[in-house]
Amino acid sequence: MHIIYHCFGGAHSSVTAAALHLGLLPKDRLPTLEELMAVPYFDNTDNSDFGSIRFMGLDEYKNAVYVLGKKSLGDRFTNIIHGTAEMLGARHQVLAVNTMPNVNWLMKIGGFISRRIGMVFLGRPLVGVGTRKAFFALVNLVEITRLQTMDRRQVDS
Amino acid sequence: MNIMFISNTGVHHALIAANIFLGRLHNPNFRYIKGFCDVAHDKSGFPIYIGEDNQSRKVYTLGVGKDVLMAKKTLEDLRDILGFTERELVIEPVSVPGESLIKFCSRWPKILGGAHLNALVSTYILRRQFHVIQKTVEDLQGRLKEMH
Repeated sequence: MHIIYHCFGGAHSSVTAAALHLGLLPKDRLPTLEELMAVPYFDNTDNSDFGSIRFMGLDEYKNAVYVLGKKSLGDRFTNIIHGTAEMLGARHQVLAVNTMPNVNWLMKIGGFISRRIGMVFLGRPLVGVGTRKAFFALVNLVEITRLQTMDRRQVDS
Repeated sequence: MNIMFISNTGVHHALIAANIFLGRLHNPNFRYIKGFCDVAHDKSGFPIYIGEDNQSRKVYTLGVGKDVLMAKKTLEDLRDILGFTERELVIEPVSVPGESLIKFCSRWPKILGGAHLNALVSTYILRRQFHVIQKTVEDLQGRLKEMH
């Protein structure tokens, strides 16, 4: 199965969720800013990455995990992805997860300053604080997603 | 094969392109196009099935908001990830001058005459841009011929 975590820029909340899914971040405690920065793609994207489905890794069940920045398309994007997969007869192979409901203002402002304006020294610490604030909500989202994938595996088998 | 016309909405110029492709529309008379300007149909984000041509190619439209080329990139990435090629799904962006105005009018509240305004403005713009949409469809048909 292909699991796609998507958010506005594909640089913070979706990357954090994907890293949690893949076990790149601990789930039982808040990560440090250094641990967050060590996650591939975290606060490290540019304009050309918008719309690209980027591979993050395989989980223990061989599900491929991706991240995607979809700008302001909102939750419609989940339906766009699921609908297109349905059209191809591959609906059961894709799970798109919107991480935007877990994004707080600190992440939005920090992300804007770091990625859009390019003032990384100012934006990155704000994003770090925001991500830590949203961290356990993202853990919860990832756990729900993992349960969904396990359900589908059981249905498929 | 599936063909998906994408634009900022799935019920305006993408719908007209789909109908031209299916041979249902030869002149800019949109009155009898099923679902034209029906924004409620477009809200969910799921592709809208329009019909099938004589070569069993299924035609869809999809509204993807203002960043049509970004959405094209995503959908092509998704197609590749799922192991399909352009032979199974072609994604064709449709763009016309004035499409932002169409999008704006399609968001106008119904209670303030939104449905009427949407139909009026969209019809006016798209009648004038009909040749642009026709050209997009002809180019696609040429590419599809080369593909086979």
